[in-house]
Amino acid sequence: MSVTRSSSTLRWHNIRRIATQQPRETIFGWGIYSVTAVSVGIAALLIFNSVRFVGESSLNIVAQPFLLPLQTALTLAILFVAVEATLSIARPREQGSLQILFFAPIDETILIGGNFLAGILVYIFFVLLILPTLFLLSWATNFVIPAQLIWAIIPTLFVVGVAVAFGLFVSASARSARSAVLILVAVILILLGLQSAYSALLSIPPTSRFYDALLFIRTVLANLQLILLWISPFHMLNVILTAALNDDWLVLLRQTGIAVAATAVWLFTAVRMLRHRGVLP
Amino acid sequence: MSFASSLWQHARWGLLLLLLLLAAPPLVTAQETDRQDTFVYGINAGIPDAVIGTFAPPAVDTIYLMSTETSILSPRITSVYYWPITNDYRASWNVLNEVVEGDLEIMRGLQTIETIKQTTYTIHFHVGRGSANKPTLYIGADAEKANAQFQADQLAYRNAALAYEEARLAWLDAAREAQSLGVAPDDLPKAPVEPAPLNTYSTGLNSGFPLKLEPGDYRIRTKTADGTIVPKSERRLVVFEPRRTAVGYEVIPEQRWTFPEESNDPEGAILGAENTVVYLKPFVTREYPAISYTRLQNPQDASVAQAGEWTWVAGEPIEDSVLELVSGNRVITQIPLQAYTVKQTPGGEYGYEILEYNASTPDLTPRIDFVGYRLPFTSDNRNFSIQLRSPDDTLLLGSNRVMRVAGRNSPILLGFISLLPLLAGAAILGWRQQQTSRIKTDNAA
Repeated sequence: MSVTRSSSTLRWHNIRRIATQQPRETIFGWGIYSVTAVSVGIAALLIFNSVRFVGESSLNIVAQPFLLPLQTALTLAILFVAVEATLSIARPREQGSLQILFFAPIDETILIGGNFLAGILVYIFFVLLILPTLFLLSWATNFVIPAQLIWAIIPTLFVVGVAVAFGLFVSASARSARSAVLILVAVILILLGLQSAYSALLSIPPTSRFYDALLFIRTVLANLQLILLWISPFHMLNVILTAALNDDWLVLLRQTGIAVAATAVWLFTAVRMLRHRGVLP
Repeated sequence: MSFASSLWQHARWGLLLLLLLLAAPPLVTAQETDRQDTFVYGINAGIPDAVIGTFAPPAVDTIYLMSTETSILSPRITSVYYWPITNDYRASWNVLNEVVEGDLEIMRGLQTIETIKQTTYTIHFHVGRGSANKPTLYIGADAEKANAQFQADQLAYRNAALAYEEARLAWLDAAREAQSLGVAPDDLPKAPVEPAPLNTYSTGLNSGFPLKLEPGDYRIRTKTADGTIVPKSERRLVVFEPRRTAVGYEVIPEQRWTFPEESNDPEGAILGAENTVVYLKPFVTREYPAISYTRLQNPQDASVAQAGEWTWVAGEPIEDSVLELVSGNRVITQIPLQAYTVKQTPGGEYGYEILEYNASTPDLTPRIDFVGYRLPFTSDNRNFSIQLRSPDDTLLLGSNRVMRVAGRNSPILLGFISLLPLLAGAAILGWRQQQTSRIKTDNAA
């Protein structure tokens, strides 16, 4: 009994060691601050445009205030942690340091678990960096940040979990750090492309009330959105933030559940893949 | 060949051509539509403030109805044709409109959950808009009673109109005669009073299946008395309800009163420029699945394909409440509903002025152009919200809106704020550098 307890304590201790190492490196590097500045810059631009519109037409009715600026900032945060997760195994394996790390009492589950927690911690740090600046933007322009949106940041942790777990899976399965990043970029482009194409088609009116030349593409993309609910963290982020803003707690809970399930699947496959691929370059 | 025979030869061909041309008109006709006598469902779909009349030809697999209102499905055999110009099927009810006897079976999965008998119904449409003028649906014995009453009212109106016409002619004759006798205008006989118009229209007595079901996905079919299913009567039935019901506002900016905007989302915000005025006209608004609502109005519509999209639909106007301005959880003022007149003023700031309507000043405010709540955006009160309180002193759910007077919009200020994370990073990295140097110094010492 005590042996089991000490074993699990040791495993948890190792997970924590790995989980704190990665965020420490991130905090003491310029990367996260640059990406945060870019995300706040984009949010500022979106708010600037909204407020400028008021100046020009004296009135602006915003259906979902602050949703787009926050969503953009959090999307960049997800991209950042996904890239970090993608490099977290592939790079040390390529450099040979992963092999050395495995001389310590560390196995695949500990490594994946530690890196997963590291990704979540980096995301939390990212959010802590952008939140005060977003409040400042809101104060300066007298723009509205609905309280529901702030609370909705908590369930986005589960969405980030999906992105980090997928990044770790790619990292565990890729031959090199470069190919891991290329795979991630390709997947992100496909996911964001499908989501953007669907949104773009929504703004294109049908050819006529009785005939729509784009009907087939619309139907295909609409059905793909259902798949994206399960695999795309960007789509999950959109659903969660919109549901929180609409006080649609049922949708929010359902999407959170989906995110947890998807995270578990990716983490499990990442561990299996790491066992399969091994630690050698 | 002589000249005469050559002329005859040509004339013969000419005659033949002329005969062909004369025969041509009966050959050139308008494009015939391919008509087919087939089973359809006539639909009277109830929505909160109206009844939408459509039909579902065999090409339409799914019928959409609302759960909150009673709708009528009428099984009919009618002449249906395809109209290529609008790319839809149309029914010639005047050519064929045969009632199909039978009951409507409603199924969920494979189980029949309800069988509805065909019954008589009538719909009375009233002139005007608003909850008071909502069409009335009468079913069964009520329908027969309402129809008899409508016919009696119609007859009474016709008789009254005839009597009025006769009285008017008699009055004209009497007035003309009195005028010729030199009677003073004040002493002329009084003109007869015109009867009040009949502001109700009726569909007459029809038969159909009244439906009011819980939201969900069903299958329906018409079954005859001998138990056979009427061919082409099996359809999918989607019954839906609004996801949210709230109070929407039509926002009329004073600077462009003919271009109002709408605020439907209760979580939305209205941003206004400082020292401007808006007028708010509240109404009930409901959020429906876009595809269901569009196809309820036209089952053949192809403009919405995506499920999962939602649309706000403006409903009945709200004209009996008071608008409250709230700041810091405290009601700071109550604004009553007020009628306004728009007066053209050439050379003015906007070319017009919006004045409070006053019945006692007909020269200044001759008519009511719109009714609403006047709301100024001032620098004294930059952050506030609005809500509607009903006459029974309850707050109307979903009437709350955040209002903001737009603040500073300096790109330099916003750019500086964007750089704050970099400054924070520089501070952290500087501190780290300092720590590292100190440790190095300590180690060296």
